[in-house]
Amino acid sequence: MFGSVTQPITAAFQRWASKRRPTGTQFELNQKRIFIFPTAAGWAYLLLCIIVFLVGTNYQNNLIHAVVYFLIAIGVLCIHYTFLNLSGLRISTLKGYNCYEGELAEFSIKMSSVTNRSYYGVQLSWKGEEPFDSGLEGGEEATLKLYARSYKRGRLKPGSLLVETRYPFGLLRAWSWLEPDVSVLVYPKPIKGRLPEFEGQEGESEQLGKDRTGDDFSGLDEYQPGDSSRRIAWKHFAQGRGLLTKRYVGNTDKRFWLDWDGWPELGLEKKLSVICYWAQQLEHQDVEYGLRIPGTSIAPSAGPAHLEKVLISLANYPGTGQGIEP
Amino acid sequence: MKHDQLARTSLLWQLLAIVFPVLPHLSHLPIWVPFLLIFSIGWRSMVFLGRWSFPKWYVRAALVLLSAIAVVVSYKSGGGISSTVALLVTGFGLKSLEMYKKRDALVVIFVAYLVSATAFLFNQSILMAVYVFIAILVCTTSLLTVNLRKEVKFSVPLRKTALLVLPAIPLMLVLFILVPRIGPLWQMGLDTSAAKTGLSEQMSPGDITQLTRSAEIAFRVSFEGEVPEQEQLYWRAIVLNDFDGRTWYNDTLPSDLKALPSGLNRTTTPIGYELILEASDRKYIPVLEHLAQLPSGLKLSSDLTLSAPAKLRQRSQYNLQSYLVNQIQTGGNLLSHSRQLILPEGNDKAKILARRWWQETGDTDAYLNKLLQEFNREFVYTLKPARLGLNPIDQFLFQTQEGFCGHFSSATAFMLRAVGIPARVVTGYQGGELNPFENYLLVRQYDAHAWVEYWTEQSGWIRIDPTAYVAPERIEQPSDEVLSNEEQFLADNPFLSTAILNKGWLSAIRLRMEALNYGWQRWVLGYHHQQNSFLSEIFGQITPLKLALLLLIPFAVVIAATTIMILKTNVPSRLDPVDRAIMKLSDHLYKQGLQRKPGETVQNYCKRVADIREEIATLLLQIGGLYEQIRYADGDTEETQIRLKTLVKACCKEF
Repeated sequence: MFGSVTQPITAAFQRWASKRRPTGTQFELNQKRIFIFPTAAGWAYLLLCIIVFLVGTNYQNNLIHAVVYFLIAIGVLCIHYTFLNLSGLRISTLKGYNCYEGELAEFSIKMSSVTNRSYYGVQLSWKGEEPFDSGLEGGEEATLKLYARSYKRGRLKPGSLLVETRYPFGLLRAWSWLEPDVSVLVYPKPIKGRLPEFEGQEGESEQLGKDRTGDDFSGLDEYQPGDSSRRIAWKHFAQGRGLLTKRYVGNTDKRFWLDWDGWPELGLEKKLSVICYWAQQLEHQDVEYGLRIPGTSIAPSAGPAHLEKVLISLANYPGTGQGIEP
Repeated sequence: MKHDQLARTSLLWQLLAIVFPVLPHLSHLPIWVPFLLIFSIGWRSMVFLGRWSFPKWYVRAALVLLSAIAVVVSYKSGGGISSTVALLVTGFGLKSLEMYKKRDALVVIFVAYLVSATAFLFNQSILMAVYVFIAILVCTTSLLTVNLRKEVKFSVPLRKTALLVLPAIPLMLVLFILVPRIGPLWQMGLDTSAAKTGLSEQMSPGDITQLTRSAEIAFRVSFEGEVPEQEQLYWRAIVLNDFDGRTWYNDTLPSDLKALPSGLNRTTTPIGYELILEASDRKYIPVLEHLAQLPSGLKLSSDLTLSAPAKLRQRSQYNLQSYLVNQIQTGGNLLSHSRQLILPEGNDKAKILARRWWQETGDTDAYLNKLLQEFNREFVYTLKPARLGLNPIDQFLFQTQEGFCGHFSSATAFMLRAVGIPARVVTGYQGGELNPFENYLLVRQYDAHAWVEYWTEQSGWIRIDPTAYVAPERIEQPSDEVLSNEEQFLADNPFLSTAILNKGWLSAIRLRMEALNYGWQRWVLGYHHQQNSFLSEIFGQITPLKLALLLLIPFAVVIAATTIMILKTNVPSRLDPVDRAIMKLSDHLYKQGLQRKPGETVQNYCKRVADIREEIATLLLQIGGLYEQIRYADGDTEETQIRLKTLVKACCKEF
């Protein structure tokens, strides 16, 4: 009922708060950054203490008093334990991985500690996303993957990172909001579309399904992740010479241009999506392709690096999707 | 696994957190409660094992309804706290059936804490304290497991919890000692079924047989100075003024006194003592004859008996002072004591005898002597007297001639009244067992006794114990020694058989245990009586500021100690020196954004950085090569490790 009223206030508070939060790529959690407050279970525990206290008082039973004091002592220690379970943690955001629109963007985050202590039940989550449970054994460090949903093409900044814990007894929650300086690019969502006419090429679609056995073998490259398994030199691998990829001399006749003007009937985002789809497909088929969109022209080539270059250009294309935060 | 769903380890601990707190309550709960618990825990375990599924909602609803009805029926007459505990136990037994999510588990655990604590309402022994402590540890462990996301081994949470909870013990002790106790905020109804035995408000010989057989503790006394002789220890509880021919009782209660009467014999110095009285469900407070000072808040009757304003349903403690005298000087004349002269019809043979003896002697002392000599000559002390018929005094004096204190005091008071000497029966306790280890006196129910007071104008009320003349050893030695050849003695308490009560090492152990128990009663269970004097003895005048400081300082110390302990636990690093060296390198290069990427091999990493940072390229390539050698070419020797470390160090020094 009050949602519509409170929302602008909450949003303003969020903006104000996030400005005051630490930014950067590496954070050390200390008393300046850690907040702590009882959870619902904590309040229930307090109520329990009060009830037991009343029973002990009204029956003048000193042993029941002892129980209350024991429970209170555990509660007080718990404040301390919960705080210590965040204090000294070092969180660094290592890298974000670009993704297609609608997918989950992956961020790899390193958790280590300035102390040598163990940490249990630490949860990390981007604001509004599912938390990820983690922990550290004494002296270790952990790399974990956090995912954020991508809604729009363009640069995705996942926003605030919440690090929280309820360890050990769930009576209190200690948390810290961080503003990591990390972002990823969200590529357009690939949508299947018609293959455009190519400039005087025989690049018909039936060509695309075929294997490129007829091409000239020109040498071996070190295997890069993403290389087609069909091009791996299995013979060499079996001989124990490592993973190598066969390199072919590209057929100059099979160079495709993904041209902005190829889909005059489509709107901006749809057009980017279809181009994206064909870039993926052509890459998969080992066909060399180039990109020609307003402001950018990429010469035909193939390989993961080339695809990434193409996709980045598509993601960065000015338009509605640009620079939207979730 | 869903977020709020319980792990399997956690579930096992939840079940333990139900079982542990409930066990001590089994003795007083209705018989169906444990069965209900076994049923629901059994069902939940079958679900846990994957054999059965959770009960349907209508099954659960039926169970709730049935249990509620069962509780109401079981406690029709009102069970006080016991019915409340039954309700709690039933409730969380049933809750366990639907324990699936975190919130259900929390409800169960919090109720389990409460049930654990209430065990002390029924039993406050040292063993129970240890047990409840364990139960609380189990509850806390299951609280920990609720917050565990990962499956762990069964014993791991217990170990962790024990470590976490350990520092709470000193804090608890500090709070226990320092936090001021306040009085009950409202009156609580205690369990009526837990009513304890005590002296009866009336006496017809035969009543006290039962008391004599009970080894239950009546009260404990610790004296400030010397413990008086056994034959001086007459604990006055109730005075019975009226006689109906068979039963001694009080038709109307004697008036209250605002202060002690001035005519008391105060030639001796008063003896101070502390009395810890067990719950009796009666009002009387036994005092050593006779009271020297009226404690505040208690009621004093004109017959010099002391009573509490309400029935004593809990153990209570009093600081009292008495003069060791056997007479009460009062004014008045024979007329003002006419109540103690009334005799009903019947027992005519005894009345005739009394008159004849009075004519023979003509003097109170001589008359009394004659009676007591008669007792001494002809009468037998026994716990199994014959049942007395319509004229009990006649029958006792002329036929059976056997009985215990009740018979003798009843007959004596009758004979005195029959010749116009005011007399009344006093019941209470006589003697007690001295515990040499703690220097206190333990008075059990079998020390209950009855004696007589008669009034003369010169001396007031004078105590006379006719039983002493029948069997003098009944008075001169503690009752357990006198009575141990009586087979009926302690017949209803198999654990305290006479063999154990006899002297010897077993007796020493028993006394030690009893001494330990006494310390427990006094310093733990009755701490609220000691607290003020104890605290001011150590810390002087207690002010709120002082109290706050006394509370804060230990807390600060314990928390600081815990922090230091946690920070000092240097878990040995699990990384081997080689990996640590590489990590150091990566951490160092992090500042230039040249940290090792996830999944990147060390060799590739070194090559990549070498391309960018030419000034350390050779070093880096060496590191990469050496790493490869250590890892994959059996080069993992101390020498290569040191070389790698030196290389990394040199690399870091470069920029």
